[in-house]
Amino acid sequence: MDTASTRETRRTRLVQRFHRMDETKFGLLLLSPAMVVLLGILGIPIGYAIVMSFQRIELTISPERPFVGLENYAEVLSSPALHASVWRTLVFAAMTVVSSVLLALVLALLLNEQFRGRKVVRVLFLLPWAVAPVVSGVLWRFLFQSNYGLVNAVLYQLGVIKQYVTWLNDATIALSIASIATTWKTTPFLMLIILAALQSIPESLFRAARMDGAGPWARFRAITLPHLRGILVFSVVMQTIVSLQTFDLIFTLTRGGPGQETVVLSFLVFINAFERLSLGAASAMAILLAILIIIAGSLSMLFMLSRRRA
Amino acid sequence: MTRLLRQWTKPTVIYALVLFFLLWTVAPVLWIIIMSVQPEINYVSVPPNLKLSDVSLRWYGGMLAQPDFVASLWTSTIVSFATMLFCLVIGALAAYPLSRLNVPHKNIFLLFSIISRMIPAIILIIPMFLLMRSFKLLDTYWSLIIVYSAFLLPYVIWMLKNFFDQIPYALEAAARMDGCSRLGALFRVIIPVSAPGVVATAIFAFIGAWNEFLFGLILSTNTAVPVMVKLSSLVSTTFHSDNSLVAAAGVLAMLPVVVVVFALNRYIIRGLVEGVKY
Amino acid sequence: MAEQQGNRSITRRRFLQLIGTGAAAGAVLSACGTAATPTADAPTAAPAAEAPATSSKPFAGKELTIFSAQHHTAYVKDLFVPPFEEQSGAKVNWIEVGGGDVETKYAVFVASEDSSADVLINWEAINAKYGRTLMEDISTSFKADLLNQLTSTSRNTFNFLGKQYGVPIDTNMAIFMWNSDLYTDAGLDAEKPPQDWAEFMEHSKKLTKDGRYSTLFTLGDANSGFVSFISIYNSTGARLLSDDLTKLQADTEEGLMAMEAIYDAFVTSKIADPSGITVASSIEQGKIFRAGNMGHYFAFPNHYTLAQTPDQSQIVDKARTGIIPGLKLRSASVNGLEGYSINRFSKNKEVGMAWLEHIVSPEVQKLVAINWGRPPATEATFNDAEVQKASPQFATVKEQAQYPSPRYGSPFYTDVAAVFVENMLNVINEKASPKEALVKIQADGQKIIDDYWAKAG
Repeated sequence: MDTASTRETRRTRLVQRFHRMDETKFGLLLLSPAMVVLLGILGIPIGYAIVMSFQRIELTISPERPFVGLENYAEVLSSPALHASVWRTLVFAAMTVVSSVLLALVLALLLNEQFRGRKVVRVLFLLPWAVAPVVSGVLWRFLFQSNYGLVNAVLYQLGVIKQYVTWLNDATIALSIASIATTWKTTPFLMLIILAALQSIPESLFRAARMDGAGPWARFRAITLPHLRGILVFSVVMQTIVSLQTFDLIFTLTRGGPGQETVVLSFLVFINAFERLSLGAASAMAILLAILIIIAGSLSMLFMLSRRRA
Repeated sequence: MTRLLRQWTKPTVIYALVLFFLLWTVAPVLWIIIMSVQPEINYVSVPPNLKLSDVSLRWYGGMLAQPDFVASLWTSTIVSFATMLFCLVIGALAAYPLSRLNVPHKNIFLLFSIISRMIPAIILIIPMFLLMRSFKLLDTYWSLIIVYSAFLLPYVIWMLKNFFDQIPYALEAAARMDGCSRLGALFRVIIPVSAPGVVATAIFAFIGAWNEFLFGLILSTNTAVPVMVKLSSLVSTTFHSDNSLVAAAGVLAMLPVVVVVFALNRYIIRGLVEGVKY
Repeated sequence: MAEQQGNRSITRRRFLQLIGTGAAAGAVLSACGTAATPTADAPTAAPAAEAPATSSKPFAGKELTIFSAQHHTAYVKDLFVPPFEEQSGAKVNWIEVGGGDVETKYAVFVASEDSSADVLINWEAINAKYGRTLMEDISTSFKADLLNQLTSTSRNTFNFLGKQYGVPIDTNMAIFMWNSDLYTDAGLDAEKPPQDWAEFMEHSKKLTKDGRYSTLFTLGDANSGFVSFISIYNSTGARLLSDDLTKLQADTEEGLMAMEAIYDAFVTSKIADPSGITVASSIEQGKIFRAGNMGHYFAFPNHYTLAQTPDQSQIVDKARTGIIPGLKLRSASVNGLEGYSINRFSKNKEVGMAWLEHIVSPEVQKLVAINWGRPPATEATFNDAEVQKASPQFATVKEQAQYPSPRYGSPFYTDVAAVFVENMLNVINEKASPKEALVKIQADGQKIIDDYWAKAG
């Protein structure tokens, strides 16, 4: 018979089991919702995409999806469009990573100094972070518009250019503009975390260095940089991963143009999937891109960490 | 004399640099705001012919008079807020064992979650559409919340783990000795003490959900359309017509996030700047 | 001991509280999700509910979901849908996305065999790409007599490899438009357009002055650049693509004529605005014209209507229309017409068919011509007196429709177009001669086509 007291004891025992659960089981229990979400919501589509990469899918022709093994991968790896795109993406990533990390470092150093209005400036520097990539693309397209963009207007008024320049026409310039826009948007976050690391350096070290007669550059090299190493590694790795995946911005800024000159890898995946409807090839390309990102991320991490010995 | 010069160069350089970068940061946004209150013909002419007398809020009125645009703002607000809560709860529950407990293969979990974010999201669109369709969740807030949370969780967990790592174990041990359970320690000690970090992570999740575009485009058609999708449809290269209207829509689309960031900037700064340590 | 227990139960309660609030929040949210904010469709719920069961309305109680683009809303949704609902008794759900996002959505529809939309917006490029896998084949099911009432251009646009996949709503094609004031200012006859390409170039040279270019060719993306090319090429009378879509015929005498015309316009005579390289939208072209900054250009007919509208134009009553001057033929043009199709996976195809019949009905076609400013799809509507009065430019369109205007829609349209634009840019930037560019276009373009048909086989 299920009296109130037996139910009470059962509950208490369950609770006791919960609280006395050993660390491992408890930890796994807490991790389980996250695992369910990640494996279920991300894992299933990723698995589906991997399966698609082994099928031939041409949805402008027929709904059939025959298995073709590694044919998609072979085709993608040998396609000149891919090679061009890989090169373009690497160049874009390099430009963006270098400029954004450097800029973030400079801004962080600036904000580390005392000056009037520092708090206000610090908030204002956060502005680009709040602007969505879609809005950002629209914004920068307006700025560099050849007929009435602000950049042309200002440079013309200042006499820097004799006539309006068609910025988004030239392939290199278009890619650079995309890089500038990405830098503009992602620098605030990096700036904040570098500033964090800067502010954790004890002031006493600087005082001691100054007493020893070290100039500003020497202090920077000997004290600041070593302390920033970890955060700089992190910034470079994160920016590399983010830049290699850029899509939203290219989609709204150049749509791959002029011609195909700003088609970065993620956009090439998009073209294959949604314009050519070759889902098999697109999936293979996406997997290859993921592998590239993992390699690039690991390489940049190793590179930055190895400089410790230099 | 040289000492005076040295005294003056540093501040001047600093102010000059600050001014320059302030311009760099704010100018694009200022321009789109200007575009949103001027008739197109003013800023399309060469050189731009901006007139104070032409300043008008009618494009904002125009956008806000469109019920589906307002609905999309509302949708984004609800979805972003819910995503933020969802991520925080699940993320905190996951970050605690990763930070504090002895769980086997912790690093594998972290690695898996980071790697899962390295696959270009574009290729996941169609399978995600099929998944949500099979759950009959298409065109609802839930599909967006679930999908956005899945994409943001790895970052949220990782950020929270880092903040939790910085709380000295002694605090928790003291609470445990007072009879607090492990979960209790999480909610009554760890989270409150790392509050700035938690708030910063919350804002990060909110912004991440608000700014999302591609999945919103595919998963929603009518009822649960986020504002970024609505904005993109206005901007479609071949078909858009009034740039001032687009600019006004753009400003409205980024306004809520900007307000949140500015209002809570103290927490962001405290959380990220004072919290994240390497 | 009791204290410990007390503490534990407090924390457990807290934890359950959290879950409870979470569940409550979730319940609230799902309520928000399903009780959707009222869309503009809400008012149309009334007529369907009121229709008595014994009414003569054939589709009473049924629903039709129309998937369209944003630029159709003000006309198709606001003007053509209400009479349809009235006559058929069906309730219409209107879905719209930006024009540039339509293909992305269709890709998802086709990949997931989605049946949520019954009727889909369509145009030549989409028809060629998605016709066979997403659109319903209506070659035999659409009433033949209705089909015959259409202009030949509009009927053929939605016919892909022998099968009819859609029904046109207009006969939009480019015509020639010029600014009479700028013509006078350049010493040209304000009422007479150039009769051939040579005269067009002469006029252009005179119009390019005072910091203004005579015209603008859009080259901002694959689609717009290709359109610019064929608007010139079509007047050689040759066909760029074989009828079975297997052979590209670019490296020909006619191809060279067209490419050299581009070279002349941009490099030798410099009469074409170089910023056209970044302009992808014909709407931008129109704006420059209506601001009085362009002498003449190849325009879609509704641009004339806009040029006559006071708050859209600074050159009211100055615009004139004529047929496009040609290289070899007197004239040629480019199609830009749109229409609707039935979703192959729809569960509501009869109602969809009723919609297709509705949009080619005389009443709707009149609205297309007068209210929308687009040339109608049916021949008869052109002859309507009211239409002719409201849109004088349609007389030009009727004349223009006598000449070829192929768009070469195909499944590989975007890829081949991209090859064209890439090489046209090389010509304009003087990195390649017209002949070299054509050789490359032929090679690269043919490869794309061959690859495509290899996969289809």
